Amino acid sequence: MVCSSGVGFDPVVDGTRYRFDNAGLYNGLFVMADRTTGSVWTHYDGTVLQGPLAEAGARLEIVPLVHLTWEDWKAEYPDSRVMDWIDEFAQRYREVDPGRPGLSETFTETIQNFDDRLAQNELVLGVGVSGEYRAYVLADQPAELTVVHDILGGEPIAVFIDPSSSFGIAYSTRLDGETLELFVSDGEVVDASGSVWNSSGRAVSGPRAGSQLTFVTSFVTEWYGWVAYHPETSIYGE
Amino acid sequence: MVNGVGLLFGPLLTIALTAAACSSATSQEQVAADHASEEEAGSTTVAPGDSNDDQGSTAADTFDEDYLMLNGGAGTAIDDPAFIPADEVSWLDDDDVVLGWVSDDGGAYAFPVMQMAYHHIAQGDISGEPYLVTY
Repeated sequence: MVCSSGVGFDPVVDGTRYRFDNAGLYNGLFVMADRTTGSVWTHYDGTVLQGPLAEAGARLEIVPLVHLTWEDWKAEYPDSRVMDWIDEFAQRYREVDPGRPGLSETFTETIQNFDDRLAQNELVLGVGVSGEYRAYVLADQPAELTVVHDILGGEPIAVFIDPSSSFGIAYSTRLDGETLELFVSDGEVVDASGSVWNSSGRAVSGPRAGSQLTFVTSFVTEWYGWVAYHPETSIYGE
Repeated sequence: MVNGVGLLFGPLLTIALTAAACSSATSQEQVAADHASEEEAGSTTVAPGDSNDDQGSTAADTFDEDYLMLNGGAGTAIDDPAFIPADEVSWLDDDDVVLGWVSDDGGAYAFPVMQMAYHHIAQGDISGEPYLVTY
């Protein structure tokens, strides 16, 4: 949403690079307008709701964006660079508590579909493969890094989850003609070869060092938004 | 919370609530946004995607303009933000959440949600590769 849904995109569509501004709300989540055509795009599945690019079915491709605590990110990437603080907006920046209960009326008025299977603000990892959608409740997993193997849209996937870090992301486990079995050992995701995989799905040591798992559309979000956009979603474990 | 701005009129109300929703603000605003009247009727039916991996019904497929509330464009997006080294960051606590982007050449870039909850959009190029980060 505005809250708790970080989604990354490749801003190039059919050879054209777009830049965007915030344009309003839809299904309780912000929408954006590109500066070239003024078309209104979701930041949730990258499709165009309205405007010149709607008829053509333009769509932004979702790319990996890792949602996790600063502590865990900098432990994994000590050389990371960080978007700088801008003093001009200091009064606008504020602490964020992902999953905090509460939705204002202005948000609920834009929501097409409510579903009480989970609390509205429950943090989930939403995963979509080939039109099949599933929500993985972060709080249902132990408060440590965990790998959940599943099949979604016919694809074998590994769901990396750590509720203690508000972290979740999913990858296909098919790699070079094999299907990998991933598990957690000493707080790291490893495979049977002893290769270690980081949160971005890259093998950072071991025989497979340098290999990259294929990302499947997934991001941490709140239940109300996930089920508003994907009413047909299943919930893992139910 | 920015109630003072929110009470003025629709577009600003939306901006205010959009900015406030991720904070501790929970007051239930009484102003009902008249979103249904903001849009003209139009046909935006789009056939289901074909070649995209994500082949289910999309927001475009099921679009209902009665649920779209436009704010006239809120200038909160940030273009080409500056990045600083992790060890120079002073404003983040260990349990603050960041959005991590890893470039094709292995560079790591963090977008703290503390800032993104206001900007919603950060866009630019990393190692010559265009990116769009949204929150």
